[in-house]
Amino acid sequence: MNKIFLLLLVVLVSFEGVFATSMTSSNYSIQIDSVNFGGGFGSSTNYVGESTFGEVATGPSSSTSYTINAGYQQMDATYLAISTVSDVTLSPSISASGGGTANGSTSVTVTTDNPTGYELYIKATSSPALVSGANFFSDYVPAGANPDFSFTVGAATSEFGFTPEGSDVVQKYLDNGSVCNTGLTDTTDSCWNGLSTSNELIATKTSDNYPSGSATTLKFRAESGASNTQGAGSYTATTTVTAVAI
Amino acid sequence: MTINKFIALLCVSTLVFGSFTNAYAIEDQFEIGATVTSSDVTAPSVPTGLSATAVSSSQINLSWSVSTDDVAVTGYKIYRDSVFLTTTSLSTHSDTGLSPSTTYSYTVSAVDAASNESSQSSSANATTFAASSSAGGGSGQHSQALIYDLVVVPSQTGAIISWKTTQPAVTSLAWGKSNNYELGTSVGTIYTSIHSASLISLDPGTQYFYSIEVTNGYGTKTFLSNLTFTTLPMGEFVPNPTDFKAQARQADIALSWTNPKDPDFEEVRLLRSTVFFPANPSDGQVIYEGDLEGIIDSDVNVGVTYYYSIFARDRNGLYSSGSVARARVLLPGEVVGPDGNIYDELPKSPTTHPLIDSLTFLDFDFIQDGRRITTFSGKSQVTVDGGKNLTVSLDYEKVPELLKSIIVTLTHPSDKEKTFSFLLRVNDEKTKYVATIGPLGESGIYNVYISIVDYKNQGLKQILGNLLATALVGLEKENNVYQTLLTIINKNRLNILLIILVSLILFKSLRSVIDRNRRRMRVSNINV
Repeated sequence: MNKIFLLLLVVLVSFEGVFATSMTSSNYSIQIDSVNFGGGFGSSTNYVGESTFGEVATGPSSSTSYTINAGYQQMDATYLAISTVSDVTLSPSISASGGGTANGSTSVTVTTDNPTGYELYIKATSSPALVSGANFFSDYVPAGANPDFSFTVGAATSEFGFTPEGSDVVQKYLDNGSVCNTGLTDTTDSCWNGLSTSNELIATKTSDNYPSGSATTLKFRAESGASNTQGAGSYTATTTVTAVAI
Repeated sequence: MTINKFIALLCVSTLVFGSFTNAYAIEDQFEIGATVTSSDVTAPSVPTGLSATAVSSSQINLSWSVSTDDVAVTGYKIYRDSVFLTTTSLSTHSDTGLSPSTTYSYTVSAVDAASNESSQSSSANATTFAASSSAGGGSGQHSQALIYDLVVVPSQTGAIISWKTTQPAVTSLAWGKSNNYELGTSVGTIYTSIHSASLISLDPGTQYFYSIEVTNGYGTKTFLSNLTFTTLPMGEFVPNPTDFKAQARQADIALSWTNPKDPDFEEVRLLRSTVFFPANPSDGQVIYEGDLEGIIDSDVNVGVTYYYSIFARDRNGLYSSGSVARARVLLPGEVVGPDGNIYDELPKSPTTHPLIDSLTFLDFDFIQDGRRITTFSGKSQVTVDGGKNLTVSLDYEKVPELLKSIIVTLTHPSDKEKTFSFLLRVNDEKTKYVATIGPLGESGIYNVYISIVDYKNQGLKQILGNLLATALVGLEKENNVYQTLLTIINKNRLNILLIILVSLILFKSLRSVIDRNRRRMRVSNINV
């Protein structure tokens, strides 16, 4: 018996990596793993399917991204999921000369059973974010330290900005009807900021929202001033949203 | 608990709790798209009239008629042998670096700001000259390129010289202060019929020599030499009143000056301030306008320093830069102190701009007869003609725009207590700080104190130097000899009268003696 326990102890020390995390990336890690004798691993950016011998995995299917918990592992996992965010097409087309405004929006839903909730961030992959070759819309710059209540662009410039809306939006993007980062109102199409290549916190919740999740609407706007000449072409901004369990 | 049970518990605990050390995060990426469309979709018209002309063994010149567009043509694309060559905004182009005796084919298209491009024009061909060409007569291409329409437009410090040739040619222009053309040569490399050269950094009021050589595509040269032009003289400001003095008395201040001897002089404007010298004819209280040479300012308070600036105005309404003087009616019992240096009396600015700090006496230009004086002794003495107007100037860009005043004070060569101060004022073109004063009149070394003052009336810097003036002492220097004689006579009237009287008496006495001797000789002859 002593030899068996000693053997077990040796196994525990040797296979520490297996029991800690079996797969990691800069964005996520699988919390719990097991020595697998059956089934297999399937993975994508959104989910990991895992099976253990002797048990059948079940789980919620209301969102497109989920982690299946099975067997003795289920009691120890934190559930965090993010819906696939649809691409956005700003409309209408903006004239190269004479100015114009184009708008678009998408939605991201975060679901977690983490009792301390989640945080949602957004960032662009380039600065300026909305580009077409050598042409670009400047990243929107608010007049002060807080987002601008109204989207304002100079006559000879063009800018691209965003605003989040939803029940979990952080104070910075709430307003009192005229000023942002003040009050508890989430006025539609208000409190504009520019994307950057650094993560910007836009929504948070301090409790779980499983299984319904929380939806945050992301609104985007590109505007060219009346006397601005904007290079003709197709402009693209690649954006990343990241949900983190607190 | 036995050791076996303890180890089992340890293992299970590790299994259950060992992995709660990692964060949870998940991300998704998406794209946002926008379209910008051009409202101009109409291409310009096709260029017409394309011509290609070989001008040498390595160059072909192109020209064409301009295109039209619903918005605007922004340029032309040139194709050589169906390959894109270059873009130009003009309706001509010189294609260089070609091979001799080679035929090239060209087309041109027009483009607009929305990148709409017209169709390419009809083609035009040309064949470059052979590599070796002989000069001399025969066909028109082998004759000389003649120079015509030669125009020189001089300025104070430069000149633009332009000319044309009867054939496309390359050209070189050499210039100098003599016909050695020692100052430089400007060489063109493009064969063209229209030529120009811009000469800079020349001296004002100075004659320059230049030559032009043109070479056509066949290597035939044409040469013009011993051509001259003269740069414009440096301008003068309206001359200031001189000898401006403010003399404090018991209850008023006596002001006196000498009006400039300028044929265009009209009157003076005298201003007063208790803050600092009025910097221009509008800066301060006007207390006199007219052509007198002195007034009494009785509207003064005891113990207050009054700063006066006097400006001469000419018939054209232009004002001089201003002469300055100051005075203070003493308090009862106060003893008059020595008249101090203007700069020494000013509060000093805690910081001085580096541009001002680096200024020296040599940064100032001293100009007479429209030319900058270049005769300096060392770094702080300049020789001037005391019989001519003198203009002092400082280039505007040599000082930052935080200045209020530049005050120049001269001291008399033989009486250091006698001083005369005037302002340098910005000219209308904002290119210089300038002042003109009348002839100094007397030879000698005039000490120069230049005080630079900021807008807070704080002293920034004082620069010291000397003017070595040469002039006829005590006399008005006139070109008219008769006037000079008249002046001599006027000043020595009494002496001249005395000399004439004595001469008359002596002459009469001598005559009397001679007559008496003659009579005696006649009597002697008769007696013999």
